[in-house]
Amino acid sequence: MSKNSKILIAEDDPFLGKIMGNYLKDEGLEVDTAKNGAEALDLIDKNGYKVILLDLVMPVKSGFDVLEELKKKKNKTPILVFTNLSQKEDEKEVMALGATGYYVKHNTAINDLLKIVQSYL
Amino acid sequence: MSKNRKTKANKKNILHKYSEQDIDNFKIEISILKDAYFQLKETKSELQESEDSYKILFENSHDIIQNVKPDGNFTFVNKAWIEILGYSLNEAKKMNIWEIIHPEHLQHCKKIFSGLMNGKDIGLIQTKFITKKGKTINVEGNISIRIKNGKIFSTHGFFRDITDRKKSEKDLAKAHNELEYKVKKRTAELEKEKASAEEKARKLDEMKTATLNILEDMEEAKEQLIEKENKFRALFEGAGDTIFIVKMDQKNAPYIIDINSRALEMFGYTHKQMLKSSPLSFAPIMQPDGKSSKEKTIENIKFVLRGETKVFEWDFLRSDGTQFSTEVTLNRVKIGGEFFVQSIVRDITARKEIDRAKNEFVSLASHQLQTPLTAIKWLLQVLLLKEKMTKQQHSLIEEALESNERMIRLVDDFLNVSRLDMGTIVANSQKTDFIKFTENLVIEARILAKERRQTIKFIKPKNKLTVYLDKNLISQVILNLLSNAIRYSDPKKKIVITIKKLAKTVEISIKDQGIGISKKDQKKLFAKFFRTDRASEYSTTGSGLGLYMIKKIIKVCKGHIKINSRPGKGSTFTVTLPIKGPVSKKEDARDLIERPIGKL
Repeated sequence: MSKNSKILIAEDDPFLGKIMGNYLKDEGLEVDTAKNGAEALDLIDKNGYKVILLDLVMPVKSGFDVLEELKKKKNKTPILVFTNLSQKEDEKEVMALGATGYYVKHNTAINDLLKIVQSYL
Repeated sequence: MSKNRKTKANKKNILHKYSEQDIDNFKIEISILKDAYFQLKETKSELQESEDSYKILFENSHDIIQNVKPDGNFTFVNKAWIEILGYSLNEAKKMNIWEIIHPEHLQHCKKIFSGLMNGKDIGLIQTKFITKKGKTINVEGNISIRIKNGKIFSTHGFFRDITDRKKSEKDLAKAHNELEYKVKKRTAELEKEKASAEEKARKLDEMKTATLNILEDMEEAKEQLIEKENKFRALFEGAGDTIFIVKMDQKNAPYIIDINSRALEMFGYTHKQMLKSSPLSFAPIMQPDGKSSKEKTIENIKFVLRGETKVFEWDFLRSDGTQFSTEVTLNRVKIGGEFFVQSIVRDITARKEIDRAKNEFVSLASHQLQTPLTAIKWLLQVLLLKEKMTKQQHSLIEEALESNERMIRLVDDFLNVSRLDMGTIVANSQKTDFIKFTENLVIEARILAKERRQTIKFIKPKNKLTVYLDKNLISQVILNLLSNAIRYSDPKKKIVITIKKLAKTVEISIKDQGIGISKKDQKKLFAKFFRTDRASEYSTTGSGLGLYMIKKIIKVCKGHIKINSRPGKGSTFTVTLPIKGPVSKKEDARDLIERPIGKL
């Protein structure tokens, strides 16, 4: 896997972030984690990622904010939104902001998460 | 005369033989005889005279006089008899009485005659004679008897022709009858007139009574009206909502003709300022949905004047310029034969705030709940995937995962129900290949069915079927129904899902061989949190929200759902959806809002 095959997980819930991170690492992926939108934007600026897993409801800067800023920066990195907001309206808004995929966390099995991520690598 | 001559010749012979003495004696005797003779002669003459006068009487009598022997033969009839009965005297002498008696009276007359022969007094009799020419004459008279040597030898009958009298009597009777008839007729007419007059009088009386009753009723109605008016006025004035009575003028401009005191509080104007004003002067130019207040108002008023009721949310302006949210109910009311629009305005600022807060709370709560539930889910899944454990440990983790899944579903359902209840869900119809869409759902459901070794048969139309529907909402409906069919049927049972195209709708029916639902339970089936006892017993999981949501979603999508089921015989749920999709309006979703008004 190339140097930029790293993925970023932006997730404010530490426990959830840890489970996701550990699982993907176990599967051989390089993973960075951000606790909020602001941290995520910093890391993206610094490192550049192959895939970004983005939560929506986060402190300081939300997933929506991140998407907006990345859209401005003409981002090309696939952004997979993993959220617990299951409303269609949210999905529409997110896709309009340039997200690549929209997944409802509680409806997604962890091995499916892996498959989804792998499909973008 | 010959006798006298003989006596003279005898006298001459006798004079030669007898002495003077003898002659003198003779002379005396002769003189005596002469006297006796003259006396006799005189008597005879008197008798003759008497007889003549009787005869004259008889002959000149207008009455019928007849002498009849006991054997019935006539011995004498008078002139009147001959004239009236038409027989000649000679003919009469050969006839008997029975020949002139009318056959009708024959029996009766024979009886009388025989009575007479036996010495009975028969008094005045009336009978009918028949003339030679066959004419019937009515007679009245009497019969006397003549006795010789103690034996009846003849009868004298005196009869008077009373035909004319009878006729007169008859005529009189007729006249009398006619008169009587006329009198009766006239009486009847008079009676009728009287009855008619009485009827008229009675009707007048009735009318009078009715009028009086009406007046009384009116008086009562008036009193009741006053009472009602007072009651309504109290209701009107005491209402917690603003009530406007609005009229449309000829130019289709609405103006307020009555308001209650609550309006003054709500809007901050005086009675005078509000009355006769347009309700539009208290609304912003635009409503929150971006539509013109004026256009919407006129449209709504016209709609309501057709007899419909309209409930909608509306923003108004207070006298200080602040805007506030209301819910308006428009009704058509009839006052004095004229139609007006009654507008009930409820300030829903507080409710809106509560709705917003509730919405936020539910979203946040469910989101906050879903995060740790997802963490547990993924952790357990990782454990199952990565860790080596005993079979027992594995199955325990699987059970924990299953419980966690249920929790996730439940929280999801709560969120969905909450959103449905708030009416924030609107059907977003998309052109859909309905067979393909359903097939994908069937494939998804088959995974679940496989676990229970059940099969799902899919019956579909041959031709492509395009339906406009909200895929997200309808997939929830179909998956939910399929999952119920699976969940409430024994293993190895069959489930059949059928799609049928009807004229303007599409029908999806899901048939199972499951536990079934009683008629009693079917009535409550779509109520929030309702589960049948049998269902709870059969499957401990289940929130009682599934069918409630289905019903709500179907309502949003302008469809119908019906159930056909019998306990132990399985159930069939049939959903009907409009092929062209629901005509999506924001009001539609508002129909779903369920809130007890009294609590707000």
